[in-house]
Amino acid sequence: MANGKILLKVSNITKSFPGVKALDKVSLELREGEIHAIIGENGAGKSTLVNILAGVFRADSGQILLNDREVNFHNSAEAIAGGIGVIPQEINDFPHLTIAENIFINKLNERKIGFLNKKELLKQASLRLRVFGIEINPATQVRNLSIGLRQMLQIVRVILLGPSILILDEPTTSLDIDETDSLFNFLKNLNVKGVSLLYITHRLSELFGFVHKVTILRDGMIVDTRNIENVSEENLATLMVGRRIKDLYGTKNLSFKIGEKYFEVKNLTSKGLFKNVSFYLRHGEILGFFGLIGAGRTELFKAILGLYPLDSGKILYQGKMLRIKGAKDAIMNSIGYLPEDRKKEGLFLKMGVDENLIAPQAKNFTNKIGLLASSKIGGFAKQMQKSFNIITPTLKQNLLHLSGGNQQKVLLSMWVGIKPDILIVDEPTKGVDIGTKQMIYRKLRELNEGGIGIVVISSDLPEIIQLCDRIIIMHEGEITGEFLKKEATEEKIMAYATGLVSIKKGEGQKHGI
Amino acid sequence: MESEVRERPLVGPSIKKEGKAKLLKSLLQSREFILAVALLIIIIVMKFVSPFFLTLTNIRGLLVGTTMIGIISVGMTGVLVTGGLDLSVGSTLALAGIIAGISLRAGIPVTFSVIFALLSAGAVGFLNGLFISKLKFDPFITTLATMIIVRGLLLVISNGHAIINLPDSFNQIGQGTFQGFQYPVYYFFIIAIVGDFLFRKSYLFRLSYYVGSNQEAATMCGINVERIKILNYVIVALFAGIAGICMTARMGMASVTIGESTPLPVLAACVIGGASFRGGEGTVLGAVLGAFLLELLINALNIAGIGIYWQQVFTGAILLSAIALDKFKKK
Repeated sequence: MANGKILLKVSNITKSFPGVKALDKVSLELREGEIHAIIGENGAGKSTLVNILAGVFRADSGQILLNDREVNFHNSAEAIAGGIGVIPQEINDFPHLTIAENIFINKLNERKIGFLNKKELLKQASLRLRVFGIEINPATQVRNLSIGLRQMLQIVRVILLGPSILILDEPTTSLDIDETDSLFNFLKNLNVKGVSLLYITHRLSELFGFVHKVTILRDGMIVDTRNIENVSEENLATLMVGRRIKDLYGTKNLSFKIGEKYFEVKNLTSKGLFKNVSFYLRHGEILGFFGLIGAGRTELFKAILGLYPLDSGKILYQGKMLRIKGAKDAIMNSIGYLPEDRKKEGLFLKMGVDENLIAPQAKNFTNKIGLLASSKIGGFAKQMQKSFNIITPTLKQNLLHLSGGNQQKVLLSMWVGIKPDILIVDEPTKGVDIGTKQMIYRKLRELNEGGIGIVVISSDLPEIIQLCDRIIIMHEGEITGEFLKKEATEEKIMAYATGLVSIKKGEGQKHGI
Repeated sequence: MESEVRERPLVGPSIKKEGKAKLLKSLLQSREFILAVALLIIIIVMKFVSPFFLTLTNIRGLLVGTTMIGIISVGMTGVLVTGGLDLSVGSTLALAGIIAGISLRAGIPVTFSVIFALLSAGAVGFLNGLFISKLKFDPFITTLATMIIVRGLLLVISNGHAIINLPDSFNQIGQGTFQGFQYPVYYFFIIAIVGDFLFRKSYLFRLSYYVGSNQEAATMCGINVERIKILNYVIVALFAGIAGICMTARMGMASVTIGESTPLPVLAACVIGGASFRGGEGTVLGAVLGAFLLELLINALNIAGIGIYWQQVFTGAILLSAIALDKFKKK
């Protein structure tokens, strides 16, 4: 299957932006019927390559051959007409329109007269969706659907235009495990039907059993192209980062003893979000919270912080009853919460690195008359920059211009900066490259061994298992299982997370099935 | 752990190079600098076009002419920075004048009349802020509604008549001069300087940028988003009140219809000065320079003998250039 004729041939593409060479003599071949992955860290040049293939950017030099003919697209409309469809990283559908209107959006004007035949549209949509194995009423508004489904519909929309090559730019970034699985099945199905895929990602684990070939990009250059059968995940990581990632997650110092219980939640309920949740956290412990989307993990901790209402239950902190009324209260109680979506609820992208770093405690940087003391801010920002290796031209730089990994480092330093006694991190390594990942884990361990308790909310199974001392699993708003690190396996955790087994129902027992 | 985390900045090595180029670049990135240069160019050109331009009389007129829009634009900058907007400033301005007029005619001393006027203006701002922050009403619609309501109430209160024969002691607030310039020019300068300083340096006002840049993140950081929004709406209303009192005192009468066209030039000044309706951006200095630019342009066109109808065309063109500049900068 992977030995079809060469469909797309990219030779010696070079592209520079002011100050950086984003792509340096990149060459690549995509064969008919192939699923070909391009992997690389943030900033390796993956997105630039996609943008050039899609006609968004123009290459400085080099050649793109499609079916042996040189092509030079000026925009994505030309690209799609030429047979290359691109699925961007962020979903860009029309939330208020129906599924039918969404998937036919590029075809609506094919009728001579400018009126839509709604019935016909819905009928056609049903028909097409069935071909792709999606059973859903096409009159539904897209905004009512899950992200995973919207992602697929977006693909359907492009596929209906008949491209022979589909380029997908990190499509699983905001999908959970189930959704990722069904997306892969969907894509394999497309592939069988004859569409060749160029699949951009930095998640290595998802490649196996899915792609045929993998090309590794690093610092704008091709490192190698390999058949997937001939590489392991560790090989790929090494090739991608350019050095061996040893001990990605780190290990707890053997002599380190977990301390006393100091934070406890008893029978916490918030109607419609979670119910009867009890757990505790000890000094120097890393406690993991795993669950699928909708399990209520984020909601639980936001409710503890007073951002969602609580209906019953109590929270004990250092032996005393605690009722937090909002983020300000939490910060005053030295509880830090790193939100899951750094762009949406974590960072101030239009503001400087320094102003972001002080955001949760700006008041501590004022003088007697309420003015911000720039020397204090500068000193603090410099210290954080050094400690977290934040790469930025200046500390005044708008965060918008920093890479995703560096933004995440700023977010972590913001909250480490308040010197928390409890640090709650929600998807701490979402969308960051492996180098930054390692750095974040190292920092968390460092803080942890300083005695603070850390709660890690994550959908990344290896992360949860490797990083946490104890793992609590939630399913549909309830705690269904709890494991110590040494007992945890991916299979067991998934069994509890999908609700197949539960300590509540007595089908398994605490600490192991 | 022997492995060092290595990364490269997005904007590469060119940053380190020539310091001069860097300075020039950052100046060109600064909206205030571009505006100052534009002002300077107009002034120099006009100096050659007309000998009248740089006379004290014309400069006085220019400065007084900028005060009303200028004072309100200081407050409006804050509202825009938080991601809001206020269309009711013109009605608030008239309200302050009428309340002052009624109080004065009822024999209430000047000081208290002014305080009442400001309180009434502040109340409008507080209500705007309350609707927009607590009830999450859309700022455009909310302030459009209060704009209409307040104007309507004024007509009801005054029966549509202006309030005339205001005491001289009150009129002095607007008509009195110091070193040849009318008092409002000084109020304007003080408000502009203090405002700019506070929005750059003070903790409380700086929070507006956090709120406007990312409201959700501001909430997560423990910033009281609602309070900051209300604060800014109250301030812009108070400044509208001050402008209204100045106008009333200058004319010696309280007019019901005054300020009907105020919101648009105020917003134009702020946007020219670098603020945007998306929030998180803009400075007081920029807005003040924007207000000057608009006034200077109208003045220059007048002196150059270009018809009054053309002035709006130019004002609009400047606004478009300001937006174009933004797009260009972001590229």
